Amino acid sequence: MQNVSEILDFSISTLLFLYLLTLIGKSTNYQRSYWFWGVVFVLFSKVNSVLEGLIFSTEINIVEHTFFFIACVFLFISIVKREL
Amino acid sequence: MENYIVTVNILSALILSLSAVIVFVRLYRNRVQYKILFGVALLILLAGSIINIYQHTTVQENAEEFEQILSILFLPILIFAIYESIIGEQLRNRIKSEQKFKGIFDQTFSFVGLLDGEGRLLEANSTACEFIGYRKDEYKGLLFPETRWWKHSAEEREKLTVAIEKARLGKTVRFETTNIDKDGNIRYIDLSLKPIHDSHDNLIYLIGEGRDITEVKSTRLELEKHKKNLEDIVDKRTTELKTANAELQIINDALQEKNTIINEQNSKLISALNDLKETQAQLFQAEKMASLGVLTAGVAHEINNPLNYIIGAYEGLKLQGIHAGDEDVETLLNAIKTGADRVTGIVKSLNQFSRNTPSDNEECNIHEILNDSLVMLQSQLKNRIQVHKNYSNETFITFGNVGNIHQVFLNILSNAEQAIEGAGEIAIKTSKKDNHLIIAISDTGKGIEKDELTKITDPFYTTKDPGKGTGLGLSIAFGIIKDHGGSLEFESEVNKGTTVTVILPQKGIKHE
Repeated sequence: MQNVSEILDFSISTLLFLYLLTLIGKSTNYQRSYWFWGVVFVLFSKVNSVLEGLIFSTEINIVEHTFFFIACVFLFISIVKREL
Repeated sequence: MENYIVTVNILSALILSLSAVIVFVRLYRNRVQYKILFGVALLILLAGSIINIYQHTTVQENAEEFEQILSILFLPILIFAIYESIIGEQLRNRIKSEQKFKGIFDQTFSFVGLLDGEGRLLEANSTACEFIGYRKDEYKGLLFPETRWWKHSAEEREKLTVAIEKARLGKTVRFETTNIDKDGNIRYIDLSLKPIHDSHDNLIYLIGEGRDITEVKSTRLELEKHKKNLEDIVDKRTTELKTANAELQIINDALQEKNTIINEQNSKLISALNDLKETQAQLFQAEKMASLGVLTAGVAHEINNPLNYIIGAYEGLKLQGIHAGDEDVETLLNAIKTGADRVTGIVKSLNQFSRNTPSDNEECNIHEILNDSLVMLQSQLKNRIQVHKNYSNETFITFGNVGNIHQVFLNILSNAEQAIEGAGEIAIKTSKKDNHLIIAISDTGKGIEKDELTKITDPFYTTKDPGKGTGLGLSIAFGIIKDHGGSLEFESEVNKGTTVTVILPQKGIKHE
């Protein structure tokens, strides 16, 4: 049950993210922005979270939290540099 | 392992806290919706992180579910915040840009209007609206020619309609027209209509731009008026100048005519002056010759007296017979006689040369005159030049002035002598032909060039070296022979000699 909700969470987030990218795609060069990589790493973290629920691997848990940390760093830089 | 996860989560929580603080500080300064969303998203993320720490430090079943709920909330809110941030920023920029251009549109001094493809007025700037007194949006949707700017003239409306049609076809149209302002004054407008197309080349708008040129127009009209005045003045002055020029031309023509007359008179005067000079020279020469004649006559007279004594003494000695039987004395007496005869001949010649009788009807024995002339030139001729006489046996007499005829032959013979360098010959031949006496005098001198032959009777023309001749001798001789009704002819060949032929009428035929 928990895995299902995590997969749904990941799917909805991914779809929203892609929709956002299509909306702003023409008007900004988002690949060079920190917020983009911050969100990507959050999504990576969520993928690892889903995998962790399926495989129950400790290493994946470590990767998930590391990615989450990296995402936090990117978002912080993005805020400091007034990208958002 | 657990420690690593807890540490990473603590660091994440710290970074998120710091980020949230920054966002909320900025939110305090500038209240914008997306920043609230950011703050909420970050707080959710922070809460998730704290729950994670709690989960890994204590065994708590509910923590996992709670984290799951927060995780589901977090990303959509974050993404929505990002969307708001980026798109909102773009919208704000667009609004700013629109305000800027609207300001330019409204505040420009020109009248600017935006028309749709049908020619309906969509937008007019403040300058245009204030000009006619339109309130905001009052004009919207009206066909441009039906707006108040054009109500004063059907003709101007027609012009505008044609211009709009042209602009719709893609041409930029510019023309001068009139508009009426809110006070009812007619103003001149320089109007242009430009089409605007989209990327597929479809007409979307027409931009109308007008400038009030009433002041310029009135200034131009004033200038044209002044220009016309100036042109009139210039035309008037030009006509006056042309008249004056024509008068001057007439005066100039008259002056030129007078100048021509003066030049002709001047030429005549120069010619007369030359004649005078020539005559003066001839007079001078004649005077000189007359003086020479007087001198010669005096000398001849003075020699004649002692010569008479010598001849008388010779005759006396001869009559006394002192030479009888003495050859030496007889030889001496003969020598005296010869010398005395010779002096007598010279004196006679001098007398003939110096005769100054005005009569031109004397008998002139040409043979005697020729002999006398030869006697006078004897000193120059002897031992150098042989003289061959070939006289006619007939009586050779003409009428005229003996002295002048003498002067002619003396001059011709003297020229012949001077033409011969070293030894040479002079031949004198006399003959008659058709009641005329022909005297030909030839020399073996250096001769005269053909082109010079025609000039030798000209006054002051000479072929002699400078200082040796005046150039008047033959000129005077020519004049004398002409006066006697005769003529002079010349034949010459360079380095062979010259023949001068004198033709005179014979005795009994008086010249006129």
